[in-house]
Amino acid sequence: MYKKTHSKNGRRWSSLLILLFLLITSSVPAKASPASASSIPAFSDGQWLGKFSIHAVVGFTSFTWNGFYNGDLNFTSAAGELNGDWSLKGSGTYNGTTLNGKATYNANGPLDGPSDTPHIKVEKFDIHLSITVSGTAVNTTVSLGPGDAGGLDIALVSATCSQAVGDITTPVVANYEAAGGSPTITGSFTAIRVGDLTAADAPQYMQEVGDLLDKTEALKQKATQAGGLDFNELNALVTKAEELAKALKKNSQCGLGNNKSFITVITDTIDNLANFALANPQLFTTEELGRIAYAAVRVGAMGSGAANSQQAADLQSKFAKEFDDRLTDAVDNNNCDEVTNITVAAAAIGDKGLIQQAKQAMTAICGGN
Amino acid sequence: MQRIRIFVIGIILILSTLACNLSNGGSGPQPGGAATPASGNQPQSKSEPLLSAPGLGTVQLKTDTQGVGAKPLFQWEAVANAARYQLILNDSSGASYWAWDGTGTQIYLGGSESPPPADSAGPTLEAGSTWAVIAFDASGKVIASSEVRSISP
Repeated sequence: MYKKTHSKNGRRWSSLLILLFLLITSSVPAKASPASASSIPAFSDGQWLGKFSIHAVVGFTSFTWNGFYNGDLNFTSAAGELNGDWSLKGSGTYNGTTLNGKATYNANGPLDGPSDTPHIKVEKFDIHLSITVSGTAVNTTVSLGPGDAGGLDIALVSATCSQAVGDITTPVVANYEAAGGSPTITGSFTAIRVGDLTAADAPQYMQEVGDLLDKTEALKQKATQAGGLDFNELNALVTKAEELAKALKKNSQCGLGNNKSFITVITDTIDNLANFALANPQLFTTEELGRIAYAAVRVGAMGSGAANSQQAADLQSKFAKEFDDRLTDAVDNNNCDEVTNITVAAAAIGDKGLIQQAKQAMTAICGGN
Repeated sequence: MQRIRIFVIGIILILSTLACNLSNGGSGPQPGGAATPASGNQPQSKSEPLLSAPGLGTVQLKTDTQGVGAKPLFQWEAVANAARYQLILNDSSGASYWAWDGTGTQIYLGGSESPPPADSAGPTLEAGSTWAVIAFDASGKVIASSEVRSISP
């Protein structure tokens, strides 16, 4: 099942086996959530480079695992099929009553599957463990092979001819839940078509993409775990994403989207953040929620430029409902500032009914024209 | 005869002033807003403020209404005490298309401070779009709003 390459203490194999079992089962294949039915995103033909970034906190019965890993993908899309490879590296900590310590991970393998659902398979998964199990130190390296671990499907969420973003979080969450864990996971996946890069140095470009994903994931994880959001940092990250987009050619020849559609490498991450805020609205003021709505429109997660119109409509609907509720409260409380903020937010959401209601409320409460 | 000429010239000046004022949305100078600079193309704006309330200042938009290209530079006058601005761009149907949030008083469509390549990825301006800018103070309070102005490539 696995190959032990080094161990100082093997007396606690039962605990270690359980731990490894959890690690192995956490990478069995899982069905990803389906992509939008109305606009199925897919990789257009050509060579693609991708990045993913995942932050995870997973609570198990006897310990909590806190990990971060990121990875690279390099593949070709042709005739509806994908072929290439991937790799990841990461680290994690284990904290529990009987298990404590840290680990580093290195993995790689092939990538295949249909052009709308890349499937990554594990060829090699090295785990370097330095843990204490029931008071006994264990330092070991475990190498998993193709037979020990499965793979993962990534569901594309939005794509233009030159860029794609996907959902890597859902299948990872499903896997940890299947392994008995209670995961809090945020993750991002993005890829760009090399042929559309105007910058000559693709590795440098992808390094910047990877750094941006990592930072955006960290911001999102901080928001989801501690609440609140640093909007200066959010703006800086979105600005960086827009800067990266400048180095890509707009290309609508593949038939995906149109000249109006756009995404950035963090579009899905911002969508996740917006959905988190809307699921936990009590954590955000109306002004803050409005700024998140503006960020969503800015990156093509919402609005008429969104490459995934279904996802955009869903997000718009959630924002409209939340601001409609807040408008009712603001009117009841005769709160001019709140009504004004809702009117500003409504402009970004683009809900004409809400805009009209908010403007009427402004007139009534603030004394506008 | 000379008195009649002076009277007629006076009427013309008054009418011209009124016409200019109306073409700027009738808003006139507002607290915190500078005068609208000369523009190559007179705004064919809808002249409707995005927000309207007593005490709310005006954000004066500077960008021409047409002939601005597919990735225009949006510019506006700084507003006194403004800590940041939000910009919303609607497409020709009135739907929100692109937005921005920052401290500067100009930004290219797509979020760049330098001209983006015309064929680069990102949003592209379509004919019949409209845009507006809102100013916030450091506490996050809305302190000024622009009109909703037309813009076309």
